[in-house]
Amino acid sequence: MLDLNVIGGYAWLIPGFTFAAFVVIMAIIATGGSGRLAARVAVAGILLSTLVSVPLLLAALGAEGGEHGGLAAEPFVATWWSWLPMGEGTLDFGALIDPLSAATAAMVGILCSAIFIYATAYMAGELEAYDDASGAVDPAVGNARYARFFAYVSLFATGMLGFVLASNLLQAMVFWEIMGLCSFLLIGFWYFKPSAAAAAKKAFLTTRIGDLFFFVGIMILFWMHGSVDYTTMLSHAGIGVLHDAAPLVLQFGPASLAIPMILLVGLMIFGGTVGKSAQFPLHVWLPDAMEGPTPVSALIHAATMVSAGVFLVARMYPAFAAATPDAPGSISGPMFVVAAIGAITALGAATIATTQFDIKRVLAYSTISQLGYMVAALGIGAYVAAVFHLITHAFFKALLFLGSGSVIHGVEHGMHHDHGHGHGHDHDAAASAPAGGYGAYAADPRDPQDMRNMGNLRERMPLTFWTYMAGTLALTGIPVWAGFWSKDEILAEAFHKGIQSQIVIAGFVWLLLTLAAFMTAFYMARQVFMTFFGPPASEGARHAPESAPAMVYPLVVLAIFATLLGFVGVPEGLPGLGPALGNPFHHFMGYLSTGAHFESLEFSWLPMLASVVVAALGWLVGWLIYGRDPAAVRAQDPLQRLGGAWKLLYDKYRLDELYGLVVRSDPRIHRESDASEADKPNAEQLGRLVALVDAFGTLNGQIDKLVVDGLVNLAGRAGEVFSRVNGWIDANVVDALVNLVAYVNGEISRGLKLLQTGRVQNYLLVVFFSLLILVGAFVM
Amino acid sequence: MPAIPVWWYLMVATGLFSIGLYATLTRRNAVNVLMGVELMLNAVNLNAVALWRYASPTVSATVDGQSVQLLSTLDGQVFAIFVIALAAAEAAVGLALIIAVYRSRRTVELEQLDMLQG
Amino acid sequence: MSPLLLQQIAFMVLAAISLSGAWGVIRAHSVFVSALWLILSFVGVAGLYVMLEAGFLAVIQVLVYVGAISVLILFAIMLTEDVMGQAEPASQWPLAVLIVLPFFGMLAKAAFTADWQLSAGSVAPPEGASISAETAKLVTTAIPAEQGFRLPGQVVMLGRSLMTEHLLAFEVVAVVLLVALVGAIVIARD
Repeated sequence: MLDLNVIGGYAWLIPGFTFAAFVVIMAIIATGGSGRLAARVAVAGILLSTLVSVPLLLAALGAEGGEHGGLAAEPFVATWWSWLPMGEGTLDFGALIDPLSAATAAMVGILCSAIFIYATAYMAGELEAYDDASGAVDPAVGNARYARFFAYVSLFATGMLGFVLASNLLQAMVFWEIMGLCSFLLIGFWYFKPSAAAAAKKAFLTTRIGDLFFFVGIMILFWMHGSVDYTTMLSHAGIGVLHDAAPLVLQFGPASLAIPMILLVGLMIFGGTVGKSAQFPLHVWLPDAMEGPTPVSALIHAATMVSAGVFLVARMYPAFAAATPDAPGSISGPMFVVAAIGAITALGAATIATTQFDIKRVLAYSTISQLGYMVAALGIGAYVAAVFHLITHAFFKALLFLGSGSVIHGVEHGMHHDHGHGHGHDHDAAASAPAGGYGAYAADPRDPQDMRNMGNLRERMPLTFWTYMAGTLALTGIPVWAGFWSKDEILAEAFHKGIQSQIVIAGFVWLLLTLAAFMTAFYMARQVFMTFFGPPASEGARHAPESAPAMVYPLVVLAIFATLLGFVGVPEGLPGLGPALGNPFHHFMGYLSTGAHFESLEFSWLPMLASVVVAALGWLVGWLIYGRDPAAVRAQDPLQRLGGAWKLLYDKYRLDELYGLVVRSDPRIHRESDASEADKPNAEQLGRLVALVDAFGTLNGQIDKLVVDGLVNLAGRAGEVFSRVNGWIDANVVDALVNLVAYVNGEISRGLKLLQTGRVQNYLLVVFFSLLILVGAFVM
Repeated sequence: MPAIPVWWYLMVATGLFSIGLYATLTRRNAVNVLMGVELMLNAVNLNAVALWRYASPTVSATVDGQSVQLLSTLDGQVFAIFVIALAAAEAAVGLALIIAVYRSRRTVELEQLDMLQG
Repeated sequence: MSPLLLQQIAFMVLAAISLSGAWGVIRAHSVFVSALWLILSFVGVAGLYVMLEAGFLAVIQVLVYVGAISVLILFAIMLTEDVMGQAEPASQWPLAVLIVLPFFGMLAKAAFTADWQLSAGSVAPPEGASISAETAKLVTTAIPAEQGFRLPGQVVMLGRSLMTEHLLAFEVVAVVLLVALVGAIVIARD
C-alpha cells in the first residue's frame, strides 16, 4: 500500500507541475514558439500532476481507519515554505491532506487532464487566427493565442490545486484569487468581442464582492486565533475559541444588536462562497461567463472553480457546525442562511433553465442549481452528501459541457460546410447577439449555440449523443448513474431531518430541492429532445460532422465516470447493492477534524422513491411537451403560452436589470428581450384614453375663453405699468448698488492678490508665524 | 543624577531646529532649503532619543542577583528609525523634484519659481 | 579628571560640532560647501546618539545621513550645475529672524521648564546577563537559557520591537519607501 507520509511530502508537485507548465508556456510565447508545443507542455504538466494526486488519494484511502476521527482529525500536514514570519508564528504555504482535499485534488487532476486534451482539438481553430490589421491568416498571432489559452488554463489548474491542498486560509485565498484572475482572463479570451469583455468584467467584479467578505472573515479569524492554519482553527480548541468569543455589538442609538462572532465569521466566509459558487444573489455572472471558450466553461465554470466555494464551506464546516448545537432539532446561525440560500438558488436557477435556448446557458443555470444543492446540503448538515455531489457533479457537468462544445463545434462546422469552407476561426464568436431584425424570441439562424438550430444530431454525432445521454441521465438523477446516488443522498438527508426530525428549514430545503429535481429532469429532457431528436432545423445541423478523436475520447472517459462513480457511495441500507459495495465514500469522508463522525442514515425507501418518481415525471412531462414533435417546439416554445411568467423566467427574474438600476444606469447592460415589445400599448386601451382626453379638452376650452383670457388680459395691463416703474428704479438705483459692490470687491482683491506671491518660502513663513501664535497662545 | 542634564540635549536640538528653520526660510537655493529640512528632522530625532533615554518608564528587575531599574521600551529609538527612513524617502523625492524643475526652468532659485503668483 | 567631567567635555565638543556644522550650512558661500558643513553636523548628532547609549541609531545616522542623503544632495548640486549659488539670503530674511528667534525662545523655555518626569533607569545590563523569571515577564524580549533567562543585546531587542509591536508601522514605512523610490524615478526621468 502507498504510504501517505511519503507521497504527502511530494504534494507540492501537484500544483508545481502545472505551474512549471505555465512558466514554460510563457517562455514559448515570449520566444514566438509553436502553439502545438505549448499545448503538449500543458497536457504533460497536468498529466504529471494527476500522476501525483491520484496516488495521493490512494494513499489517503490506505491511511484511513484511525479510531478517533480518522484521517480528518489527524491529517497529513506539510509546510512547503515559510512565507512571512511575524511575531509569534508564521504564515506558511503548505499542504493539508485529509479525505476532502485528497479526493477533490484527484478529481480536479483527472478532470483537468480530460479537458486539456479536449481543448487541444477544440481550440485548434485559434491556430488559424486572422491578423486584425491585414485580415490574412497569420500563424504568429494564431500560435500565440493558442499558447496563451494553455498558459491560462495551466495557471488556473495551479490555482485550483493549490487552493484545494492549502494548509491555511490565507494561502487558500491567494490561490482563490489566482483562479479568479484566470477566470477573468479566460472569459475574456476573445476580448475583441464586446460581449466577452463585458462578461469578463462582470464576473470579476461580482465575485470580488464575495471575496471582500471572505477576506474580512479571514481577518476576523486571524484576529481571534493569531493564526490562519486550518489545523489550529478547526481543532476542538480552535472551535471553542470561536464559540466563546465576545459578540460584536452594533449600537444604533439606544438600540443595540449583538452578533455572535461565530455567526459573523460564518456569514463572511459564506459570502466568498456566494460570489465564487454563483449563489443567489451573486449568481448573475456565471451565465454570462459562457462567453468564454467551451472547455473553459466546462473546467472553470462547471467543474472546478465554482465548486471551490462549496469546498470552502466544506473545509470550514466544523466552524459552521459549531454554531448549531449538536442536538438534532435545530439548524441555526450561519447554517440556516447557508441552507436557505442554497435551496433558493437551486430552485430559482432550475426554473430559469427551463426557458433558455442557448445550449450552454441551460447548462450554466443547471450548474448554479446543482451548486445550490451542495450548498443547501451543507446547510442542513449533510456534509458527506454535499462532498459526494460535489465530486460526481464535477464529472457529469464537465461531460455535459464538453458534449455541448462538441455539438456547437459540429453545428458550426456544418454551417461552414454550407458556405463552402471550413475555418473554425470564430468558434462561439458567432454566438454574439443577433444584430437585430429578428423577432422578439426567434432564433438567429447563424447562432450555432441556439438549440432551435439543432436537431437530428443523434444520427450525425452518435458518440457525442451517447456520452451526452450518460451525463444527462446522471444529472437528472436516473438510477445507477452517478448523479442519482449523490442527489438522492442529499434528498434523503433533507427528508430525514425535515420530515422525520421536524426541522423546518430542512423540510423547506427538501421541498425546494425536490421541485428543483423535477425541473432538472424537465429542462434536460427539453434540451436533449431539441438538440438530438427530430429533423435538423438548419444547414448546420444537417451537415454537422462528428468531432475529432481528441474531443470524443475525453467524453468517453468522463461518461464512464459519470456512469459508474456513484457506486462508491451507494447507501449501505439498500438491499442487495448496498452491503455488497459497502459505501466506501461515506467511510472515507464521514469524519470531521473535530473528531465528530457522520453516521450513515438509516436507509428509507420513501425519499429514494420520491426522487426517482420526480425525475421520471420530469422526463415524462419533458417528453410530452418537447419529445413528440421537436420540429414544432423549435419554431415556438410551447411554454411561451404561459405569457408573463415565461417572460419573467426568460429574463432571469430581471435581476440584471435590478442590479443595473441600483448600481448604475447603463443602457449597455445586456438585455435579451426586446424592450419595444413591452412598451407597445394595447390598442383598445388607447382608444378609450383618446375619447376621454377629447371630452376633457372641449370643456377646458370653454373655461379658457371666458375666465382665463379675461384674467390674463387684466394681468397684462397691470404688469406693463408696474414694469415701467420698475425699469426706472433698476437703471438708477439697483445698477448703481451693484456697480459699487463690484468696485469695492475689485479693490480688495487687488490688495489681497499681493499676498499670493507664488513663492513657497513666503508661505512657509506664514505657516510658522501662525504656529508661533497658536503655540504661544496655548502656552501663555 | 546623570552626568549630563536632559536639557542640554534639548538645547542642542532646539538650536539645530532653529538654524534649520532659518535655512529653510531664507536660503535661495532649493537644495539648501532641503538641507534645512534635514537639520530640523535631525533635531526632532535628537529630542526623541534624549527623552527616551531620560524619561522612559522603567521596570524594577533582578539582573545577576542585583536589583536594577531597566527602561521598559525602545520606542524613542524606533521612532527615530522611522523618521530617518521617511527622511530618506523625502530627500529622494525632493531632490528628484529639484532636478525636474531645473530641467524645465534652468534654475533652482526658489524666488524665481513663482508661476503660482496671483 | 573625573569620568563625570570627561563626559561633559565630550558632550560639549559634540554639541559644538553639530551646532557649528548647522551654522556653517547657513553661512557658507556656496551650496557645495554648505553640504560639507551639513555632513559635519550629522556626524556630531551621531556622536550625541552614542552618548545617549543609542549606538545602533548612531550607526544608522552615519549610514543614512552621512552616507546616503549627503551624497544624494551632492549629486543634486552637481546635476543642477548651480554650485555657486547666491550667498546672500532671500529678501524676507529679517522677517525670518523675527519668527525664528521667538521660536527658539519658546522651545528653550519648554526645555527648561517642562516637567519631563525623569526616570533614572539604565538602558540594558550587559548582553547575556541572566535575569529572573519575573523580570523576563516584564522584559518581553528575554530569551530562555538553561538557567533562568538571558537578556539579548539592544539591537536584538530593537529588531524584535520593530517586528512585533511596531510591525504595522514598519510595513507602512516600507510601502512609503517603495512608493517614494518609484516616484523619485518617475519624476527625475525625462
